[in-house]
Amino acid sequence: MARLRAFLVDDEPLALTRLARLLGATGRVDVVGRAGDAAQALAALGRVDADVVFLDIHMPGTSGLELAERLPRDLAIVFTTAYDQHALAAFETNAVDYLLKPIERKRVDRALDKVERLRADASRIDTTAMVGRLAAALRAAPAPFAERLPFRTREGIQLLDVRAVTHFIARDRLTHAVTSTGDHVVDLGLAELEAKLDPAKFLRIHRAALVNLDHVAEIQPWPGGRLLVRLKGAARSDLEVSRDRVRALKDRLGL
Amino acid sequence: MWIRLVAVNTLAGVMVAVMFMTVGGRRSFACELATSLIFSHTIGGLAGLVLPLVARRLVWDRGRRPWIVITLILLAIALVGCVLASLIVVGVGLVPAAALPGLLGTSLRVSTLITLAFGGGILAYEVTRARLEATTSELRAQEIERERAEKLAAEARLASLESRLHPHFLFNTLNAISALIPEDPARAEQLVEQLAALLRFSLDAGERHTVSLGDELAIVRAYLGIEQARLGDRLRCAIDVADGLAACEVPPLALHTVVQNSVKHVAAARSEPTEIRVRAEAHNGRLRLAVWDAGAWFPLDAVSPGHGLDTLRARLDVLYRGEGRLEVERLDGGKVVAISLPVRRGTSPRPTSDD
Repeated sequence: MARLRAFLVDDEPLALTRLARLLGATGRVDVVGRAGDAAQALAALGRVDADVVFLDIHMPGTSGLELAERLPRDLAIVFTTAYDQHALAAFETNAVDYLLKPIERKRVDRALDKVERLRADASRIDTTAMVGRLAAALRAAPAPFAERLPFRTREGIQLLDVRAVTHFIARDRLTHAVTSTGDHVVDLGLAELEAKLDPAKFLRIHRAALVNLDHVAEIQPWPGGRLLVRLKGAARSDLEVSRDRVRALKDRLGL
Repeated sequence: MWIRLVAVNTLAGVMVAVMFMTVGGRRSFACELATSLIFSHTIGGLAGLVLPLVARRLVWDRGRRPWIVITLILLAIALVGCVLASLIVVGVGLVPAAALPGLLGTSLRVSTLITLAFGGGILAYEVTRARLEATTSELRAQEIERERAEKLAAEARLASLESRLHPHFLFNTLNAISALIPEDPARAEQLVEQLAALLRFSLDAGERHTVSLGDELAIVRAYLGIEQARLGDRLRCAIDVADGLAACEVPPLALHTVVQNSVKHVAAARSEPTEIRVRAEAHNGRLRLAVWDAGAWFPLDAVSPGHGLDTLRARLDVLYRGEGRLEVERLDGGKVVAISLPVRRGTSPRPTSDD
């Protein structure tokens, strides 16, 4: 059987080193790439072909579970984690196996057996199902998180670096991307932006606001169990966090 | 209170009147009853004013012989009451003025006996009641205080075991050590030592109220060493300690809790490299242990109950009775979480034996 092409994702460099070494020692795998977070992984997986992804669950921003949802369905996923209550959630995604750190050699072999068995089954099924799978895989090809957004000006269409956007705000049926130097109307709604942008950076804090967490300077309590987010920079604008989004923001900031 | 007093006085008056009639009084029962009621209410009223005060003092004067004092007080009440009542009786015309000395003589003997009997009974009752009340409230206060202390101790123990021996931290560290063994055995060995030091310190922390700042900083360095091995370039640290502070007494794992909070929620939560700065200094008799990170500022009120910083704040409050504080300040585009304590230096250096 051909060697499996494996892609490894973990935010700890030493964990990547060890996993690559364990996989190499089996002689059954080629490691085709590594990434330290979900954004890097999505960008890289658009370029390289892989059969299996070894995915750490706890990573900054977007977790391994969230990343798995964005990966093509024909890509086998093996989760790795130190200790977790997420085992069940992991198997609800397209996970093939689940490895506990420190990872044991014989468990790696078992996980590879499972991946190979799955691939063998997939190659035996009839062509209609195969075409169906292929179509599904194509539709769900991994899209990296957007780094630039187009916006219209009188001169034509320009690109905006999302790292410079402090927040997006929906006003008068338009979506404004606000930067420290001004604001630009973009053609996407907040829900579309939320899906396109890295959830590790952009968090919906209100029906009408999506904030870039890198630009948040401070959090203030606000009447009615809400919070106020104050942005960095000279303007120090305040954005309201609606009650139902307070928990998500506190979780993200570790409060 | 007053209804009870009037009832007791009336009862005493009626008893005396009946007693006089059965002994063979010369006057009508109504007249006798009126006289004795005036006596009983005057004396009883005085007793009602004085005895609760005496009872309250007696609650706290245990051990001495209070009964002599009580008898004297009761006798004085009887005497003053008799004179007052006799004057009233003569004044309203129940007894002619000429019979005053006789009335005084008879009433003094009877009143003394009754006052001693009733007064003693009432006093004993009042003292018992006051003691019971005092004991109950004392017990309740003690119980509340004990519950609070137990809860905090339990919380601190839980927090320290859970966060330092957090399985996630422990297993990830073991994984990092496994990765280092073939590549950098010396660093792997160092990591094992740092992890062992951290575990030992955490297990001992429950037994001690304070440790020296030097010991606490050693454990913070060990912890940061482990996290740097795990996070690689993402975590940079700077530790700056003013001279002469190593002997200061600090609560175990307090600074560690703040540092860990920064690592967990700022350094480990970002893909880009971040710095954590630890600073220890003393000004005007107060020790300040400050940890800076690039995270967003927040008021302490926004911290969820049971969060590491929330538990730490409660711990400092109990340990230093309001003199130990946790503060969050804005600085250099990030925030500083600082522990502020009165400076206390250990009396003798801790022996460094290995037993």
